[in-house]
Amino acid sequence: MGRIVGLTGDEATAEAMRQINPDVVAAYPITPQTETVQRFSEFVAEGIVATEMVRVESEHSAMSACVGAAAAGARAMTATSANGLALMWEICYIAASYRLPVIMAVVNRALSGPINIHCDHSDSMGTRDAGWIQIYSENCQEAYDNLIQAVRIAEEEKVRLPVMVTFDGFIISHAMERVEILEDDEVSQFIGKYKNAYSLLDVDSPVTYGPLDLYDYYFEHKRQQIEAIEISPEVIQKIGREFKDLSGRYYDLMGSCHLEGAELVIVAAGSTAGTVESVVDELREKGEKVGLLKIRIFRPFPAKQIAEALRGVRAVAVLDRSVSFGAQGGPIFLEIRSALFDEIKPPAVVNYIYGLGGRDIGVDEIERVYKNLERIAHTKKVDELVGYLGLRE
Amino acid sequence: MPSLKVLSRKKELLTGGHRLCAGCGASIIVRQVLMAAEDPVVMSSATGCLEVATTIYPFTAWRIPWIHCAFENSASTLSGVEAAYRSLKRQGKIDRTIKFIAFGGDGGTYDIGLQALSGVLERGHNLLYICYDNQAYMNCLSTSSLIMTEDGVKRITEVKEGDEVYAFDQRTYQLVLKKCSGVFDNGIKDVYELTTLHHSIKATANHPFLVLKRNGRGKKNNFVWQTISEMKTGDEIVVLKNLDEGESFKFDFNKVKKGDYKVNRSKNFLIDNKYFEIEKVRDIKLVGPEPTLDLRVEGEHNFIADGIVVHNTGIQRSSATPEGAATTTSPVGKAIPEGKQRPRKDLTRIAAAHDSPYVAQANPAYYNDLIKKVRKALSTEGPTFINILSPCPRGWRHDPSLSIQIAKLAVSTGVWPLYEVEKGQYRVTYRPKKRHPLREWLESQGRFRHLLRPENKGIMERLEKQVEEKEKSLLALAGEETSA
Ligand code: SF4
Repeated sequence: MGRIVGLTGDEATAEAMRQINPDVVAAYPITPQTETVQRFSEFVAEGIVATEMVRVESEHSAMSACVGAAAAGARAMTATSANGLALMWEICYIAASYRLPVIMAVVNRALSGPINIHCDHSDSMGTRDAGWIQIYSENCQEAYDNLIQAVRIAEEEKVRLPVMVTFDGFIISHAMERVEILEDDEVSQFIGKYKNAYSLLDVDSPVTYGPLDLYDYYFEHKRQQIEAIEISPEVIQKIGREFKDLSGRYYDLMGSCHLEGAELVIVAAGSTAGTVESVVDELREKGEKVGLLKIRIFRPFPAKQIAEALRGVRAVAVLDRSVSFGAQGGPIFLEIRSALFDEIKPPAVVNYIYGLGGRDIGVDEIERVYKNLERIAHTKKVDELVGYLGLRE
Repeated sequence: MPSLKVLSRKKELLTGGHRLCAGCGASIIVRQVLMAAEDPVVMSSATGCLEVATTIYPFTAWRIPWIHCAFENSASTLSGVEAAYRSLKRQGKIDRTIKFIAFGGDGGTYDIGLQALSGVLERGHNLLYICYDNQAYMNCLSTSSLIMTEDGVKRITEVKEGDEVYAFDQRTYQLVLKKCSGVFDNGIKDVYELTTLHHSIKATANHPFLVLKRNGRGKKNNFVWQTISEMKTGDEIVVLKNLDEGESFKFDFNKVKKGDYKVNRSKNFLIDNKYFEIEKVRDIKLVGPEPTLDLRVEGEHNFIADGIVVHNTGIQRSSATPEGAATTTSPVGKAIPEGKQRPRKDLTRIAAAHDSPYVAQANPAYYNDLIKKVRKALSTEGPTFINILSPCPRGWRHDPSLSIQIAKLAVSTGVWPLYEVEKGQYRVTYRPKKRHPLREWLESQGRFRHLLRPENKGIMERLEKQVEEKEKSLLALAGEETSA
């Protein structure tokens, strides 16, 4: 079962795409996603996938072609980063509202301007209200595993929503890691066949996609869309369990957490969770009651599970790799703080914005965050609700 | 090819009951295109009249699979559908022969959708892109509105072209009589109700009203046209004094003297004006979808509905708008007497420059030619493009019953030559024996009326010259002789 290879994040994504063997891939190259598209193009050139590759002239057309392909009953995929995702924005909403199970890998990169090619989460966080399910990955293995599960989640009859799988640009996309790859037929069996009951190619029973929808129906349609995403957590968990049976690796709504007996907890998404984990291991060895909660599914936000997981914790620091300008903190912080509102004894919560435009975050900074949490837990006072890590001020 | 009589026995694939205006070229074109297709068709449409008017949920006029995604991406959306078809066919998951047609108006094709179209032509998808070119962005009053006419107050549904209606003279602030040059059915649209102290009117969100703009102490106040969507309660609009709604009455037109109004800078702007005053908007609320109409009024471009001064709507210039046409964003004025100042983009030749295997220009008045071209395009391997002139009675300002005649004039005057480009080879498919003067085309539509004024003779001559040049270059490409 499976084999172990060394792959970068982009290569692992391309490998997952090869095994998923989508009917249509429409993509436009952008750093740091480029290697995914290049490698997949090689698979197409070698004839080892059945995919029809649409080499579009922009990301806007990439997402438009995915909408068309998915509406025509095809399994459609794309990948992008930063400004590419921003250019797709209009059509991302349309893909979700037409209930099309498009799969997209987002290699996280800072949004312009000024232009910057390195990692932060401003791109995917910018589309958090577009109606897509969002899965954040810590490393190459997770990017690979999440992409395969995403196909099943997106196509589940009662969900039928597009899914975005993200991982950190350069830090993961260009770093070689040990990745366990499933066998090709295991993947194709796991994902099964896609059947769209309302295909445009079913010329004998014509359907109309995208009519003008005024105030007499639009609202109800939005309500149905809300319902679909609200139902998805149970589907995500079910597919996570099935994936464990296949691979031995289990995925839940939250990423793997180190919360046993933890009193001071850091919440993080993406590769930084890995760095935090190593600090947790170290500090725990010294007997400190520190922990990590890793964000996996950000949309829909598993508020209940997270509030439960943080019960008994004294202080929480939420690390955000993006800014919501003018808001009360970063996007993850806003969700966590709101999730804890109904708790009888909520922990103190503080927010740190970090790593914008690819700024490194080191072990000492994370250690300092735990120190601050200790002080907050002790004094029960948060002096500064939102702080910045690794910033020259 | 079977005759139109035979073809018209084919089942209608765009059913009646859609809300395109009477005389709209788009529906005529779609019907001819679908008649021409021999295999099943999957279609995409860009946002625009064709999309909005055929698919108001929960209704659809389409008996073929049809998708609308956004304004600028009819081409790329359909390229995804076509890619899916190719993929599934190759995998043996589908065995039918299906044809793919993308539709877009000139806005969605010449302008915002040009990039997606270019991408599709370059990538070589097996699809036909059709632009229904009505030469502007087309976009009204509820049918219950009362209009002030020479013969008293009439329901808007009873106003006919040629009737004299009262308008507000924006220079003298007086009531003037103007000829109504057209009544337009705008289909069922969302209607808002705007109320002031003495009046209330129903109109669509994009309908302009005459709003008073106070520029502060010591500065001159002025009037601006603003749409309902730009207005808020408290705004001051121009209304008619003492209108007894619903009652028929006459105005003594002769009594109007120049200058019998006074501007009061701090208070009511039109104090002492005999006919008009300013009232504050008390409320604007959505009432729901209703059938709507719009009037076109010569000269002043405004009229008085339900006692409130309103403006004709819609029609913004696109890069397909011909030079010399008046639109709401290229109006005729003292400084710019010709309306639109730039020639239109020659999209057909831009498409041909992509070395597409088949590109053509067609016209619904020449249905045989059009159907032949569609058949040729659909049987050609690779991306094909047809640009079809689409008369728009509302935007072009002509009677809906004249659409086809006017479309014919476009060909006979050389404005819209019929030709095709097959594998790079230009061929004129229909050539009028003798090119008619451009004047005939310009005279047929209200949007060109200003060009007929004697002082604009130079502009007309320049445009005539352009048509001539364009014809010459087309004939040269086609290797044909220019006529004497
Ligand atoms: S406004 Fe013009 S293009 Fe639009 S439906 Fe009416 S006639 Fe057709």
